Amino acid sequence: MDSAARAELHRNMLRIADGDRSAFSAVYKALWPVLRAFVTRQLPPSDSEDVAQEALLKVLGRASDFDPEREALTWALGIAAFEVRTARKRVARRKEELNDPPASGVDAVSLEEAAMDRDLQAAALEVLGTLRPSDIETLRSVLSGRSPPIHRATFRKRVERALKRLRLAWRTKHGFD
Amino acid sequence: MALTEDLLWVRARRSYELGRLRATIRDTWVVAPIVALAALRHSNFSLILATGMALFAITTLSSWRGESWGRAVWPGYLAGAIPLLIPSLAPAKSVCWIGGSCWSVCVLLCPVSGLIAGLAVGVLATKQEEGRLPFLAATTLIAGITGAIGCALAGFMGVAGMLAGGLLGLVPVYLGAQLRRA
Repeated sequence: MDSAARAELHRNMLRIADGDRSAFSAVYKALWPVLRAFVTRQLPPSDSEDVAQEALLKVLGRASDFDPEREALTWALGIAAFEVRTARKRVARRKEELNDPPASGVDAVSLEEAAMDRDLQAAALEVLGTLRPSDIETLRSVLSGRSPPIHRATFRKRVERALKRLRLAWRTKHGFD
Repeated sequence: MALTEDLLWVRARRSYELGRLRATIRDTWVVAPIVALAALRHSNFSLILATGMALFAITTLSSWRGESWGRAVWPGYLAGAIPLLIPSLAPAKSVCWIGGSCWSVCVLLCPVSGLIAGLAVGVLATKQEEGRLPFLAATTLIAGITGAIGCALAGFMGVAGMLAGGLLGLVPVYLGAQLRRA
């Protein structure tokens, strides 16, 4: 925006601050592209349009408080910069919330499920501990998705046997499959 | 979600008007002390409340409208402060005889203070470069209601006297200035 346009915007801003509605259109048309460009430079495209519009509404909502001693464009960009800062903080807060473990607001059902999972894992490890080291190694290879350097048919047979012994150990310890 | 251009225009206009309405508080807060002052002196609270509400409505409207209407609010209060305060300065039950009739001093002070207020409004209105008539209308209305709250102390005669005195001060000054310009 050149200095003539800035001066024109300042004059029109003074008029709408005084209540002259006939200058509203001129202020709107001069400010909107400037604010949009300013916000777009500072925020990702997904957020910039919303924030630019919010900034425009804030500027026009505060037009009655415009101080004639200040330069209209600088004043408007100051409000837009504040909106950008607020939007950035909002995005940062949202990211933090997504990364944080659910400390509060976890209901009783999910707590109970988590406790049951822990018990089940402990019981499985306990049964696994009773197996032979070769069976443990075979089952670990299955879980990790890695095939040991042996023939595939041999490996399949070992897995079958290890699972059979695991089931037997589980049944012996807990009395059911 | 981003608004369309048309909707943004409508919202922007609404935001501007709401902002103007919010800003009227800078001009209308004075109504509260005026009503409080009147309540200390009068016993007719419903009349004070009604007059206070009318004053609040008119000042809000003028301030929101802006331009000459908005600029008229404070001169209106100041001119109205003369008949609001002067009659109450008269000692209670003090009277004087005019033309064989006994008049309460506070009743007599109402047209006098109205005259001063009318002169003040007339002078201020003639000094306006543009929007002289809206300025005159708004100032007269606000000064009239503010003054009426004070002169209600002297009853109907007090208010009528204040209005008559106001017109007597205002009309010649304003018309004289208009004629000189023409």
